[in-house]
Amino acid sequence: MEPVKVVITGPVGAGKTAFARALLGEKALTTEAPSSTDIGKPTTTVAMDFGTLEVGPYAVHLFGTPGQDRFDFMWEVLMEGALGFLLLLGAHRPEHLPESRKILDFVLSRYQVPYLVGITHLDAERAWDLEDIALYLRVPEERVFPLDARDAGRARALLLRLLEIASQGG
Amino acid sequence: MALFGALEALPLAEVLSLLSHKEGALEVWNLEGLPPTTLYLRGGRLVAVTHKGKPLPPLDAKSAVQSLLLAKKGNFEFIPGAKPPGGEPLNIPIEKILLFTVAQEDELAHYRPYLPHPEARFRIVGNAPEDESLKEFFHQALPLLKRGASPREVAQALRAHEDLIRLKFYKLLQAGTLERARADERSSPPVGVAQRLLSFLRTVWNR
Repeated sequence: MEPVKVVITGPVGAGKTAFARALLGEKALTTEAPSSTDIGKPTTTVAMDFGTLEVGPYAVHLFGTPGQDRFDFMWEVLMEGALGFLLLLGAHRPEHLPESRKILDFVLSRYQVPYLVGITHLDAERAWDLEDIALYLRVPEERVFPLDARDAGRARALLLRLLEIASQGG
Repeated sequence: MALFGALEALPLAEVLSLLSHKEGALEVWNLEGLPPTTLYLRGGRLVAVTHKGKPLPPLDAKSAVQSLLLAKKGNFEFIPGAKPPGGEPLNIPIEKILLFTVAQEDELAHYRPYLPHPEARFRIVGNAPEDESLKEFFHQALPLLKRGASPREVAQALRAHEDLIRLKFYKLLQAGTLERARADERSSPPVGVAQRLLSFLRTVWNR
């Protein structure tokens, strides 16, 4: 099987695990553990490998990065040979924008990788607009994609859009 | 009796305050990312700064002191009566340095969550800023910023404290003088694989 790597990142609570589960279903690996600090939810992503989506001759490995700064050292290994990069972010948590921009600045200035920003929780009572998020993150609006991370159809649409971008050279 | 210690326990601002009316050399070494530095004091003023015995020109001396004031690790020792090797090119009241330190630390604490990643690379897209202190930094960092550089690379080249340089980058980004640099195209992932996988997934998922 031909291996393909997609890296999924984003702040705590952005929906990384839900997104991987929506794509992989029951095959998704458990990468969560109880959080040792108050991050607003009982568990957080601690492992790298979300699991593999096997489609015909391809094995699409989904790697999730923990949302905390102290895991910065993992980027080099993670990004090596990645076909795509997804940053997930909750529209209802503007306090996560600075961290998200920091991640994008680092990754996009260091690695030539096709990317998309998936925006979750757009249905929250108070949520930022996609265009304002794009402006803050300093990315073109067409790279910011609405996402219900629990919905398999939306998760697939996001992955397909990422592959379209990759097919056009990033 | 020698006056010596570690910056972990006594920050430089505390030491300078103590020495404000003494004459001599304050040697500071074992600093992270900064060379051993000596500050020469006389009559309540900073009169010279040297790196490994070599006197620094005023602009570099100012930048060195700013970085030194943020150092969290290092050792120091005061040598009473020592004179600077290259005369007294500076005349900065220590009181002014101490007040500046407080303002600088406040500013850094305020902006810290928004400072760019130390290893993210940025390049110049706008003109030199109007602000004098930024203009000075802009010209010092110009050769690196023209081809794209990270705050860490600039801090190492200018021998300055990384957080201070991140703050300068932040201000230049806000002013539109810098933007995120593009990654080197040599690391580009293969397009063919993406095309084949996309076509396969579209068939499998009927889209």
